[in-house]
Formats: sequence, C-alpha cells, structure tokens
Amino acid sequence: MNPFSVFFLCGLTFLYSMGASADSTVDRSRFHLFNPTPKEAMRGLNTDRPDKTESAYSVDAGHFQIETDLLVLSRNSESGATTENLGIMVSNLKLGLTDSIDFQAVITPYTSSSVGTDRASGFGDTTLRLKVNLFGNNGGDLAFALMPFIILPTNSGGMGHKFYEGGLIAPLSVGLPGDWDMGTMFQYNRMKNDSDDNFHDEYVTSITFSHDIVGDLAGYVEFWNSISSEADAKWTATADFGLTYRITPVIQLDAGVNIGVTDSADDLNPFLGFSALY
Amino acid sequence: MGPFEEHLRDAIRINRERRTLYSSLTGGKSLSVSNILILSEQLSIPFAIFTDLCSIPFRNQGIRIVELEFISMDRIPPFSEKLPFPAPSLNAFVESRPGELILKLLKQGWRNGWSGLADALRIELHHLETNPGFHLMLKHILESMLRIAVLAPTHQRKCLEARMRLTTKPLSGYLFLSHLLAIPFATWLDRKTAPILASGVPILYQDVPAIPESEPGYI
Repeated sequence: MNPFSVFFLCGLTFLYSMGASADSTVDRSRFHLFNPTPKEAMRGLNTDRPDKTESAYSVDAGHFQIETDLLVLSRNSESGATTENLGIMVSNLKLGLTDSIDFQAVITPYTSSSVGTDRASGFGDTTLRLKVNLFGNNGGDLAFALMPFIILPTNSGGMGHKFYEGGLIAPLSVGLPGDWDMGTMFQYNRMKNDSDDNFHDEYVTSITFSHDIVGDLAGYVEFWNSISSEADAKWTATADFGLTYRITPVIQLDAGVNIGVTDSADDLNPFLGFSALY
Repeated sequence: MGPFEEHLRDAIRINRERRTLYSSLTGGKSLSVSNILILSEQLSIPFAIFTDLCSIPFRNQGIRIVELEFISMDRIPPFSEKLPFPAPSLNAFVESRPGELILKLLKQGWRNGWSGLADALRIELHHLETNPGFHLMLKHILESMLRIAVLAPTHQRKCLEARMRLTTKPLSGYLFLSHLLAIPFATWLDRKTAPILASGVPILYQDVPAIPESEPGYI
C-alpha cells in the first residue's frame, strides 16, 4: 500500500464518515463567494498564524478572515552589525472563494529597518496567495493544500527592490493522538539575489506541534528552516514558541517569539497579533 | 534512551571529536560545516525523542521500527586524514535540485507506493554515483529513505501477524516525510562541503555510516 495514499485514504475515509452524519444534508460544493457558507455549516476559525507553518485549511466560501501582526519586532546581530526591524499591522486578508479555495493578500502598511545609524521605513511588499485545499478541509486527521504565491514589489522608502518574486507552499496538517496537532510545510521560493539582478531558489521546511493548555489557551512549538541556492548563503533556522487564546469562536489573540538558532537567522523575533473571521 | 536519540547523540559526540581534527587539516575552513552539522543534529533531538516514543508500542511487540531505520554509528570508518581515492575536482561538482527531487519522489510514492519509492530512490542513488566523492549528505539521506521504504511493508505485515490494533503505516510515513523535508538542507550542506572534499579531506565521507537497503534477518 502506498504510504501517501494511506494519508490520503485516512483523510478521505474520515471525511466520508463525517459526511454520513454532520454533512449529509449539506452540499458544500454549492457554496462560493456569492453564495456564502451559512453560519451553521461553517468550519470556523482556522489560521495560518501565529506559527510560520501554513495551515492546510481554507476560509469558508464567501467569508472574510483577517490575520494580523499588530506589532512584530526582530533583531539580528551578525558580523558585528546589528539590524533591527519593526512591522506594524502586517496583515493577511483572506477571502473564501469556494469551499476549498481562498484568496489571500498579505500587506505590510508600515515597516522600518535600522542598521547602526542608517534607518529606512515605508510600505512593504504585497504577497498575493491562493490556497487550494486538496483534502481534509471538512474533517479527518489529515489535510493538505497547495498555495501558489507571488510577491509584488509595492515597497516604498527603500524597503526593498522592484522585482517580482514567487513560489509554492505545500502545507500538511495532521491530527495526532492525545489531541496533539502537527503541521508541516514545504515551500519553494524564487527570489532575487541580494548582490545582482539574477534570481535564486530557496527551500523552506518547517514542522510545528500544538496542543490546548487550559480552556481556550493553546500553545505551540515549531522548528523552521530555510536553505538558499544563492552563493555564500547561510543556513537560516529558528525555534519558535507561542500561545493562542480564543476570545470567541471567531476571534483569537496570539503572542510568541521566534528564536534564531543559526547566525543568519534573527536572534529574536517577538510578535503580538490577532485573527478574526467574519 | 530510544534508538533515534541514541543515534543522534553518538553522531554529535563523534562529530565533536572530529571537528578539531578536520579544522587542523583545513586551516579552520571546515569549522562552519562541522558546527552546522552538530547544530542540526542537536536540533533534531526533540523530534528523535518524539519518534522514539511513538515507536514504543511496536518495539514492545518485537516490531523493530525506528530501531532498524537508524544504523549504529559504530559502523563508520575510523578517522583518516585523506580520502581513500583521488580527491574529486570541484569543477566536477554538479548541484542537486532538491525541489525537483522531492516532487519526483512524491509522485512515485503517490503512484506506486513503497516499492515505487524504493525504485526511484535506487535510481537517484545510482545518479549520485556519476558525481563520486560529492553529495555525501544527500546520499546518506536517500539511503536512509530507501531503508525506510524497504522496511515499511515488513513492519506492517508484522503488525498484522501480531494482531495489533495499531499500524506502523503513519510512523513509517512520518519517518519518510521528515527525511524528505531534510533534502534541501542536505543539498545545501553538500555544496558547503564540496570545496573541502575537493581538497582531499574526507569530511562527511567517513562521518556517516553506509546504510544497507534491508535487514536480512528481519525481512
């Protein structure tokens, strides 16, 4: 038996068994942007943040979700120079197009960067993404999605270059025994070189484990790393920790810190954010 | 201590011992590679503990999942200052494309299951032989994946024979997936190591054990 088909079959079997009970009266394929999923049939809030591993679940058709870094800071000391970055209201705006596809726009209204006494600030780049859930959206222990994305060079104030970049993300969510959840992700980026106008490949992989702590409070631990094909690129890896708190079933607060475990990663990257589904 | 954790801790100890030896041979050029290798092993320890815990119910029933997948570090060759063959030319180093390789393996797994994966891995390992002396970490990862793919059906069969309610399928899948996610790192480390290998210093070459495809007494 195929190992991957085992994953797929587990998800599908559970999906169909769920279909026999909860969803037997709901034909989810008829929901789309202009025929929104009714409240009683919604999956509820499921976020890509606060960890860096993307979720495999899409936003309900015809509904809107916002996921925001109210404040995100980072500090990196490398080769004698210290870089500090600040982002405010970095937001992922999501819109459910169909029951299994959502559209996402990640915007950075304000970002600043300082290296020693040099400082720059302005609008950041904008990332447009499409999340296509392939299975597991509506139940089961496994869910998988593909997320193509493009980065538009909308930055101002010297906060970046003027080249288009893009890539593909493949997130897998797994329900583990003991109510643990695992997420893992493979991401391919086609990015512009720092030193010239050519492009290079980047490969990002991550794995995260999360669990409820008490009541509506949950926590996660994550390992994230990135490898670049650019000449002299270093290995970037972080160990990430955070908490989420559900204020209501559709509003969530989160806070956490990403800690660099290699020289080229930010030493410390604390953040505070929230998510809401309408 | 579980088998995966033990494998990693042995690897960390050996790589620490050899770090200074390689450094003196390369005038310090190998230090960053050794440090990254050790760091990556240290970071893998929490996942090793998790994997070992998951394997306990099976190992208690004599199903040697995880135990057989990770080869003892006792099998690595003794330290030597030179490669046992002429140093490869750095001009001959061909960079791997990890994205393509991952997609290829996923496609094979989806279409043809464990046996298809094993065949695809054998082909990839054969391709690496055309660039001898390089891609040692990628070779190590692919050999390990091949062993996982070969052992997985046997573990499953033994579960059925033992009339266990649990199955090793998800754990074999997890082991395979975690190796798959390590492919980009392996290719990157190989790129960093290539100039050192081209100078004739056998870093990695003698620091990872050769992994046999199967375990004759088990299958």
